[in-house]
This record gives sequence, structure tokens and C-alpha cells, in this order.
Amino acid sequence: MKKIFGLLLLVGLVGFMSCSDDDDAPGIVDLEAPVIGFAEGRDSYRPIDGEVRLANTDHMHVRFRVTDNAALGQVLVDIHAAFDGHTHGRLNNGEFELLNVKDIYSPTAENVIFRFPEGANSLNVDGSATDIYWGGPTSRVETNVLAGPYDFTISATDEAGNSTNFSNNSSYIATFYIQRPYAPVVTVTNLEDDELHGEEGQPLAIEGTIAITEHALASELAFVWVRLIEEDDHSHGRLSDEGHGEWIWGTSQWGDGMSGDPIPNGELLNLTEVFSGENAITLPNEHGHFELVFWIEDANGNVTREVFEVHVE
Amino acid sequence: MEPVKEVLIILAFKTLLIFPAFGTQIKGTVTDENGNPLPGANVVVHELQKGTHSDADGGFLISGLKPGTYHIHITHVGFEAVSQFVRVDQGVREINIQMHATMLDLQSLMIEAYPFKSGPTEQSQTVLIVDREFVERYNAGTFANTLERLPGMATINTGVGISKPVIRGMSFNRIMVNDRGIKQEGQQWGADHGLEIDPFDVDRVEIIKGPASLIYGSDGMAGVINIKPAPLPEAPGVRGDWINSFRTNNNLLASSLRLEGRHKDFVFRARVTAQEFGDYKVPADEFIYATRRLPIFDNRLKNTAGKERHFSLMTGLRKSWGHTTITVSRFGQEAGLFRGAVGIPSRGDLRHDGSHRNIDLPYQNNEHWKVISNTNILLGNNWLEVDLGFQSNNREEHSWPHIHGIVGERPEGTLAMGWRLNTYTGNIRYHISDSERNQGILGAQLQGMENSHRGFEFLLPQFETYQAGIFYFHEYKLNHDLVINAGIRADGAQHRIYEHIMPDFYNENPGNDFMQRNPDIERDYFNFSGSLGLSWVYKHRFNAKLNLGSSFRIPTAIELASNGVHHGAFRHVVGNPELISERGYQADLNLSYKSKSFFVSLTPFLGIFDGYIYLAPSPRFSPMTGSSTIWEYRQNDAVFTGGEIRTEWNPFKGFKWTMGVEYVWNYNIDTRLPLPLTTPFSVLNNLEYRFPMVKGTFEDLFLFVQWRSTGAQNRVDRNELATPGYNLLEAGIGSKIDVFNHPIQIMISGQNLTNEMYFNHLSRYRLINLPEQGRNFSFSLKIPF
Repeated sequence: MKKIFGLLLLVGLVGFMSCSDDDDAPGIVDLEAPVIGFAEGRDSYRPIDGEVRLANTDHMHVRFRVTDNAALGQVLVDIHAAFDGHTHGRLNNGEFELLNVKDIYSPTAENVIFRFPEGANSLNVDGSATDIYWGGPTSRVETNVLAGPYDFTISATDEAGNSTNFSNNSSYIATFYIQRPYAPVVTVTNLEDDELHGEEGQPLAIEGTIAITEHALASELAFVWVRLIEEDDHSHGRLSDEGHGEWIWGTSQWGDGMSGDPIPNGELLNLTEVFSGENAITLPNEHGHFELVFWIEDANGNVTREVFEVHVE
Repeated sequence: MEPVKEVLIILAFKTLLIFPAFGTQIKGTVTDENGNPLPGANVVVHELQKGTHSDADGGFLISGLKPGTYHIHITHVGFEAVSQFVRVDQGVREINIQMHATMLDLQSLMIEAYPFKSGPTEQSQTVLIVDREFVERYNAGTFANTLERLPGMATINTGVGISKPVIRGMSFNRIMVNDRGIKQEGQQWGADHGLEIDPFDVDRVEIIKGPASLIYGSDGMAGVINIKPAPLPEAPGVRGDWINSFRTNNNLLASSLRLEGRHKDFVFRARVTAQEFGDYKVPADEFIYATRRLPIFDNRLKNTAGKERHFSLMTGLRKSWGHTTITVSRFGQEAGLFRGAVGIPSRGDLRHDGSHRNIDLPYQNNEHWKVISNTNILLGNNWLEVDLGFQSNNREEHSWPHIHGIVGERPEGTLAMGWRLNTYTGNIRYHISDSERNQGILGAQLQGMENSHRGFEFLLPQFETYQAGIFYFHEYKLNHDLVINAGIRADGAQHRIYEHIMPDFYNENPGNDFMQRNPDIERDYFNFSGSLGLSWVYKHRFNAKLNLGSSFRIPTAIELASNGVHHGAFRHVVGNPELISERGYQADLNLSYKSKSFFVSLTPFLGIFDGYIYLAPSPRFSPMTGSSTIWEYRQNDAVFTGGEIRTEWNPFKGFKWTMGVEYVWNYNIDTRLPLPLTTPFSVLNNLEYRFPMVKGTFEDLFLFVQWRSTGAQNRVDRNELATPGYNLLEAGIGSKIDVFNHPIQIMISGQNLTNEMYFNHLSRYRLINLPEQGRNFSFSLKIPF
């Protein structure tokens, strides 16, 4: 109580005068949140935004470093599905599951891999023990991981409670894609220099297939969603909304009730046949680079996403 | 027959004959400062809600009274309101009322809801009054947003349909809303829990700024909002009005019908309101969150539509012994929450769903039932007021189970959290007023609450809370210019919170299918509080008020026992059963000067809080899905200070300029940081012109322009975002048009006319960088019949 009444006097005097700002006790109160950056000796994060993990790999490298001006509190690595929609709990027959990771690094973590010394002001994560597996002995899933996009985030706090934040971009977020041998495959065979080529205002010539594999866990095609969009401004992820065409077949498990005409064939689609007649991909009346984005779902909910660049002359 | 007997018989006969016919009467005249009679003054016996108007000679007569003490309230447009204490015995009591002319609108209103029935100059606290005209003019779709225009008031919003009031930087359980004398209880601890009041069913609002625990009990630390019904219907017969309004920004359509009437001593009033709105528009087609540029389709925030249905019904009796009324009301609201605001927003969630009026998941469903009985009875010379209330608040928050990390469907469907809070309230006040000099109130309050919960998620357990308090408050009028008051109060309260065990969806403890979210908690609290105030008037122009008070608030069940993710705030919130009562020691000053056409008041305040409870971020991450760090309820000592300036100036007839300035500064003594969610500095200027009366066509034609300038809020707590300042422009025009002898009232106004893109520091959507509502035009039509 004594300190209260002491302050009563002080605040009474100071309160009305210090209308402007917050430099009451400069240098005493630690308000600096930890900083997330590249792992030592590396020149990028892992995963980076848009990273694709091919069907023949079973893990994701995790590489980053967190530093704080005082002492780190905890660091959270979180992975959750970013399938753009809602599962309604339909994961078929218990054969599949979503990758769900919440690794909390702290001085008191139960698992020694996630432990760092109390009072430490930096944590470097760059090793196979902290990589995230969806196959093998250290797999994070009990059954089979569902192929598709996953959001990967890193957040950190310091001992005082200062926290990184998504609103001011001090937390890290990246979307990466897991491909699996049982998920559908998109193959385009008429690429030149890794690009599709076409003329403005003309239909795009495209050759290839959307097919299911011969894997025992493969299932029929359930949803095909193809969009022609402006080439991504990569600094902002894949979120520009300038669509130049959209083609939908089947019904999505994920996208909020998205649905189109029935899929002509549940096992194999010939791209040349599918994108002909009224479904032709008519290119925009402008030169430049565009992207053709394929989003394919099978009946089990696996998602395959492939992006092809389109050069319009 | 002896002459004496004869006289006695005649006297007795006369008594029988005359007194029952005329009873006790108050007879009086109303004059202006120069002694000229003032016709048309509204004269109301406050205790009986019974009134009349002064005649051409300024005279009035109120008959059919019982001997007792009364307060007569006299109001007249263009004159300062007067409250007169009158004690009457058998026969006729004559009083003369002198009114002071004023051009100030503020001065012609009378404080009605404060239990102390003295006039505004006798109060030692600052009381703001809002009348029907203000409520109708600034109705912004929610009750709290209407009050935002008063200096010292702000709102915490979640989009457009959900808002709660803030007084001097404090909200949640630190302010109290009394509807018809009963404290509204509806899970007001939540930032996204709006106040359940029909914006049309409000006639007068009186806001007491400063500590009010003494008369109103726990929670009235920053102030009290008293919502008072209109006076009981006076003229016999049935009347009513029908208000329709439309807002362009969110295509809001509202319709409210009122009917009221009196037949002899029986009175009734009924209101039905329907209101629906679509997704609201913001001056942006994208927002940036987590480095991602997210689209806002068609400038409309997806799934922010809402639907409301409200009604209230009052019936009562008005007799010479007093009056009694019973009111039944229901507030019903279904309101969507912006999709991007639950979890990390993703592009798929923000796709247009084909409609701007549908309400999809996630959404809230809120229902608030009230049964309130108000009685005022004359006992001997004194009045006994009894207010009884029963409320049932049913709140449901719906979302997908998987947002909460639950795989598979749940028997609860989409009901994440549902609470039913039943509250029983009894308030008794006995007014002891022997003379104008000494008036006292002896009061007692009882409140019982029981809360139950449903849903697949958990945040707040089942609990019961009982509170009881007694107080005595005394006002002493030293002389005509100086009034002092003092009061003491004792309170006891008990929380009984029940353990909550639920299935372990998160599998935090492998091998254990159930987890305890909170243990049994039983806590008792005792509090004493007191207050001391004075009001001094100098030469009728200056008024100085000083109020010193201690206030208290018992910790709420949510502060003691919560443990879960409130998806309304992205946070895993953890309570602390060891919290003790929060105490405030507050000083409030009100210095005002008024002339006939100018008024200015300065109202600084200072509060020292012992054990101020707030949510603070811990360094620990939550193991639960959909949340980041764990936030804990903590208790620290804190200081609040600041004040308001309020002016009104009428340089010539019809023209009015008002200004309100507000500032709050707070400081957490233990963390040496500001407290979270502090109202920013703001200045509100209003210019209004009322055209001279044009009889027949446009009566009461007025124009107004309003400009609000809000400063940046850089004084923030740890991890809280600073918010830049902004300017808002608003204008409107209104008039009465006579159509077949019905004065139809129309009004057109525009809000945020410059379509400014700004953030509200107190908004829940501020957390994800979502701007506030853009330009809007409002149209309203009131048809009396």
C-alpha cells in the first residue's frame, strides 16, 4: 500500500503532463520480442514458402534460428493442414491422417531434443533429430499422411513474455506441399524450357494426364480444379486473386462445398481432351507470364497441387 | 344538539365530503427569473410518475396525493430543469417554482434514474444524460455504439453488430449496465460478447462516471449506465410510433413498433423490433496478415451479417400510494463472425459464398430474457423502492470442431461453447427524507447467479455466485449552495465453481482419456467501501463537485477458473483461483461554468487500483490447437487518470456547437507498462443548426456536422499492437413533416463520409489488421400514431 500512495502523488503530478508518450522507464522494461532468422551458416529457412516434398521423400527439413536480447522463453514449431477448407472429420477408414505437429522447444521440454539451456539467448535448429518425418521410425503419423498443403509456422517468446506475432510478420509462416505415391499425379508433356507456350487470345495447347497411381492406397479422382492466374508476386505468397479462368469437375472434400460437373473418368484424364471445345483454356489478350494451377483431390482426401508457368506471346 | 357537536359533525361531514374529493394537493406556479408566468412547463411527481403541464398563468394543480414527501421535477424547453423537494400533509400545499432561462440543451434535462432524487447540481458525481432524441438520431445499430459519442465513452467492437461499452478506459465487469434498476448479467467478460440491449428500447440513459460500487455494488468501478424507461403514459387511450431505418453500408433494415396506453390507473407499453444486416463494407479490398495478402471480396467482410428479434412488454398500475410495473423482454441475436478471424486466415475461407446476407459458421447466437418488476410505495412519509429481476442469458458460439483440433464429428454438432446464465436480483431502497436538508437512503441488494455450459469446447465451468450488500447513503444540504454526501457499504459474496472434466481431444496425457480443466473452487469475499462527496455552487454559474470513493470488484468465475481457448481472442486463457477482490480508491472532480449560452466542464479523475485483474501473456505456448501463447489472469497495482472536457455554446438562436475531449492514461505499477485496451485520446466536435420553425411543412428542421479526431494509441501493453490515429466526418439532416396531422420524423445522415480506412484500437478485428466500417448513409422514418 505504501508504494501505491507514493505513486499517487507522483502520478498526480506526472499524469496530466505526460499526455504524449510511453517512455516512462526507458531501458528498464524489456519489450523486445525474439527474432526468427536463418539457421547458422544457411542462406534460407527450411521449409521455404511453396516448397514441395516429392513422393519419394518422407520428411521435411526444419532449419531456423531464434535469438533474443535477453533470454528465450519457448519456441513453437507448428504444422497443420492448410487444405483451404474443412474436413468435417472424413478421413477414410482410419487409413490416413493429417500431419499435426506442435513441437515446443523450452528449457523444461520433456523430450531432450527440444530442450535448450535456461537463460539462453539463442537457439539454432538445424539437424536431423528436429526434422519432421511422416515415414520411418520417428514418423509423426501412425498411419499414412494425407498428401497436400501444410502450413508451417515458427513463433517464439522470451522469458518476460514478449512474443513474435503474425500481425507484424515477426512470426514465420510458410506453406509446403507433401506429395505421396498414393496421391494423384499431374503430368504435362509439352513443356518447353519448363513452360507452356501460347498466343494471346488463343486456346492453350496442353498435353498430358491427370492420373491415379497403382499404389494399393490410391483412390479415384474426386475433384479437379484448374485455374489460370497472374504469375505470383512471390513476396506475397500465392494469394493474388486475378483469375483468368477456372475449371471444376467433381466435388471437393476441402473447399467449402466447391463442385462442378461430374468427372469424366475417375482414373485417368487426358488433358488435351479435357481442355477442348467449351472447356478450352483461352489465354488472356496480353503478353506475359501466367500460372496454370492444378488442385486434384482423390476420394481419400489426398491433394496434389501442381503449378505450370504459361508464357503468352 | 350542542353547538360543539354540531360543528364536529359538520366538520366530519365536510372532511368526508371534501377530502376524499380533493385529497392532498400540490398547487403551484411556474415563473421565469423576472416573475412572469411560464405556461407549458412539464411538472412531474417523480415518485408517482404522474404529471401535468402549467396553464396559461403558469399555474398547476396535482391532486389525489397522499400525505408524504415528494420530488417535483419541472422541465421546460429553454429553461434549466428544476427538482423541488416537497413535503405535504393533509390539504393544499402551495409551491412556487422559478426557472432560469438557458439556451443550453444539456441544462434542460433532469437526472431521473439516480436513486438520489436530487437535482443535477446536488450530485457530487458527473452524470451524463442522453434522451430519446439523441438515441434516435445516433442509433448506429447497437446500443453501445450510440453512447460512443459521449465524452469518456467508447466501445469494444467485433465487426458491426457486436459491441460493448467502455467508460474511461474500463469495460467488461468494471462497468455496470442497469436496465430498469436491474444489473444486466450476460457473460460480459468477453471482448466479443456484445451488450444485449435492443437499441430502440431505450428512452433515457444516464451515465454516472466514477466509482459507483457504493449504491450499485460490485463491478461499478469506472461507472454505471442506467437505462431508464420513458415515463408512464400520461394521456388516456392508446398511442404509438413506428420507426424504420436503413443503412447502406451493411444493408441494415430495422423496424421497431411501439404501442402504449393508459386506462384509468392501468398502464402498458409494448415494443417489437426486427433488425437484419448483411456483411459490412470496408474501404479496402485486401488485408495483410502473416505476410499474406488476403482478399476482401467486393469490399465486404465475409460472414459478418446478423439477424435480431427483440420485444418488451410492460404493464402496471399507478395509484396514489405509488406505482408498480412488470416488464418482460427478450433480446435475440444471431451474428456471424468474420471467417478470417478464427485461426490463421486462409484464402479458401475468404472466397465469396454467393450471399452477403447469410450467416455461416462461425457465428454467435445470443438470447437474453428479462422479467423485471419495479415498485415504488409510500410508507408513512417515506418511499420504499423494490426492484426484482430474473434474467436468463443463453449464449452459443458455433464453429467447426476441427478448428479446435478435434478430429471427427461431435454429438454437440457445431456448438463449441454454450452457456446459460440465470440471475436473480433483488434491490430494496428505503428513502428517508424528513426535510430538504437531510435525505438518506438505506439499501440492500441480493443477487444469485447460476451458470451452466454445453458444447465440445471448454472455457468457463459451471458455477454459482451469491452476493449480498447493505448500504446507507446520506445527503446533507448545508445551505442553498453547498451539499455534502457520504455513504458506507458492506458486502459479502461467494463463488462455488465446479470441477470440469472432459475428453482429452488433444491427447495431452497419453493413456488418459479424460483431463481436468479446472478443479472445484470455493471462495468467499468480504468488502467494505465508502464515499464522500460535495457539490458547491457559486453565483449559480460555477459548480464544483468532488467525489472521493472506494470501489471494489470480486474476481469473476472466468478470472478464477477458465482454462481453454477463447476463439474470440485466439488465446488460451487460464484463470487463477488465488485472485482476491480488486479495490479502487478514486477521486473525481467536476468543475463547470455556465452562462445563458455557454457551458464548459472539466472532469479530471484519478484512480489507484489495488490488485487490478487483467490478462497478461505468459512465455508458454499452449498445447491446444487454434491458440498461440497462454494468457493468464494476473493481479497488479495500477493507476488510471485522465479526464474529459465538455462544452456547449449557443452564440445565436438555433445554432449550437458542442465539443467533447477525452483522455485516459494508465499505468501498471508492477510491470511499469500501460494496461491493455486503453481508449485513445479523442476530440469530437459537433455543429448543429436548427432552422426557425416553419409551421405546416418542415417543422423542426435541423442540420448537423460532426468531426471526430482520434489520436494514435502508442501506450500499449506487452505484445499489444499500437494503433494509428484517424479522423471521421459525419453529417445529417432531419425534420418533421406534417402528413394528415401526423408529424412524421425523417432523418438522413452519413457516417465516415470520407471513407477513411482506419483501425479501432479496441476492436477485436484489430488483431488481424482488419479496418473498420467504411462510408455509410442512414435513413430513418418515424411515424407516430
